[in-house]
Amino acid sequence: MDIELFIEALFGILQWKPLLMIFAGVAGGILIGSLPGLTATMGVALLVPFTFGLPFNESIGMLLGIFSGSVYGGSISAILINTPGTPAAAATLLDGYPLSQKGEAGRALSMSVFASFVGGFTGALIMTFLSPQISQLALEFSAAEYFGLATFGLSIIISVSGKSILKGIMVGFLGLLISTIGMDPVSGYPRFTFGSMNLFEGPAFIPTLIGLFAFAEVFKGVEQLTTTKQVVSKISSVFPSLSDIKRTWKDMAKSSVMGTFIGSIPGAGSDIAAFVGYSEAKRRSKNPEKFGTGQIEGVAAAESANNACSGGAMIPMLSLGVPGDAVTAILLGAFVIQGIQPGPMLYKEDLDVVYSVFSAMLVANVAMLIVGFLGVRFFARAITVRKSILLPAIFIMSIVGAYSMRNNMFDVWLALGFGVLGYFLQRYRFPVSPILLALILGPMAEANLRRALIIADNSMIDVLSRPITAIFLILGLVTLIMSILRQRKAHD
Amino acid sequence: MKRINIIFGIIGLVISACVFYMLNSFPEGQPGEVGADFFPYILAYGLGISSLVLVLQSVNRKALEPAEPFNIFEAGIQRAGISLVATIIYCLAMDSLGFLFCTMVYLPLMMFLLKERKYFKMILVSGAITITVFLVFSSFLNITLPLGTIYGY
Repeated sequence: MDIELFIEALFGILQWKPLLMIFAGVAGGILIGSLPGLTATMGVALLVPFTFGLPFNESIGMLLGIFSGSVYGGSISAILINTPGTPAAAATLLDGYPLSQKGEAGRALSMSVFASFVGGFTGALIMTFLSPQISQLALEFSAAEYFGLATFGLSIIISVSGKSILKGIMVGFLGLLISTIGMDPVSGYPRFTFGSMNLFEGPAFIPTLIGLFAFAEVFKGVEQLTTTKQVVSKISSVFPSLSDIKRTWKDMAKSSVMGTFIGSIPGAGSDIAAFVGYSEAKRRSKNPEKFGTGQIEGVAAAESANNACSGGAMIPMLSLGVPGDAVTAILLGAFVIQGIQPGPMLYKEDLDVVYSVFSAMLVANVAMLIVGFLGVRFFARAITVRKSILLPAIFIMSIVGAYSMRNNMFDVWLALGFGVLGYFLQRYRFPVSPILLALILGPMAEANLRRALIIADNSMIDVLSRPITAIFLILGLVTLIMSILRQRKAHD
Repeated sequence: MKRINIIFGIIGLVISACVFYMLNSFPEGQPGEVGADFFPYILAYGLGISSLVLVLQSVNRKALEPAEPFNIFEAGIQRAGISLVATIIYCLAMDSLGFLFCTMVYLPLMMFLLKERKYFKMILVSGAITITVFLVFSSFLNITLPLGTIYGY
């Protein structure tokens, strides 16, 4: 690791403008994450357009601030009103809400901020030291290996998305077909564009994700109009006590490491990490029977694990160009808009960019700790904003966000179309994330397969029998078969 | 859920058939190279086969968990439908009438649709959101939102 370059990048991030953007991103992320029904994915999708016109350091700072803030934000509503703001906070409410009922909401919230910081910072540190090693390995990859990697990424994501693997596969293929819209990467022939210039580069990524994750969610919110419970607990203290830190540090440390590694597996999201961290804390506790009744260790373990996941999910995204989940897929798209192509070549050619990302992630976690402590009372009040005010505002943000990508109304129509598609898919329990990931991994798989075929004189056997490619493809197939078998067993 | 799965499966089959039809007009690849139709062919087969399996699986299964009914007379569905139509009208009108005017009309109407009845609050919040979004995008992010062609912009 080039320490000098890293320190230079860190100082670049510590300038007032990037810092301001990181704090703004963290605050925006916490706010959206804390609102029940608005997921971290939706939060990042809604706030990404705000980063388009910004210089690199400011843009990346804001993006990573949003990312870190939105994961923590989910715990606020979980603790105060027993409704997780994001799926990742589902494990937090098990002990967070009982603490709140006992009149200890401040204690739970302050521990949640602190544990989120410990997890997020550990994840970012592991990412900083581990992803360069992975990228070194990936430098040896040729087109055939990249095709194998993209296929593996798709298979693993489909296999863990939703209750039905078949529905996941179907949606995955639909997403891959959508990714072929636009000019053919080799011959330049326009495919499925219906003569529209707007589709020559394929469906624009940001409007597509705004449609799938923001419009679809607000349509659902409009349909199921419910009122948010009022906060009853009073928030007394906003800082965790030393005795609570002493009591939970081992759980936090363990959950942070576990969360990072779970996050680095494509498809295994922060909700899974949170439950694994929580279960481990319960298993090693002297009083496991008390978990679920308001144990501070439960809050600490769940929050450190789900925030550590953020750093973990960044590892395959940065080093291989393969997003670990829907949020990192959006981040990858936002990076590309900024002119950065994540992958091993990034580590070879733009190491300063990589170090800026590492630094921004570390600083974003510190910012989350500060904003979390200072703003907890404000966020607690914000979660009770009425849906009748919130949803129209999200409609406007979605429309403006889709429009701002290319100053083009076509993108707004595209977002609305994907919004309707996403609404019906979600309504009938088809997973939506595979479409988003297919839009990233599809072009990667196709371009590399075509390139590999040209190199191998059109011999598919030569391409597929390369050792690393074969391993990735077999792993992908095994993952799918295992998931199908697991699902069958669950049905029986 | 059985009927819904069959409908989605049939839609998947139709999409896959349409893709196959369109692929007929794609040019052949260069000698010794696969063409632009190569990858979409594989994917159309994949979508077709998975859709067919979903249909067959749903037909053969006796009991599936019930799906949420889609009744257009239900208030929630009507509300979602009206919000979609309102958003389409808003987007259609934005180019000619401009972002500021359209948003100032659209937001209170949407709030009313979502059962907000505090009129002063509706107007105040709508104004604040409209002006904040406009200023943030136009001044801070240098992204020009439509000003309205009827005003000569």
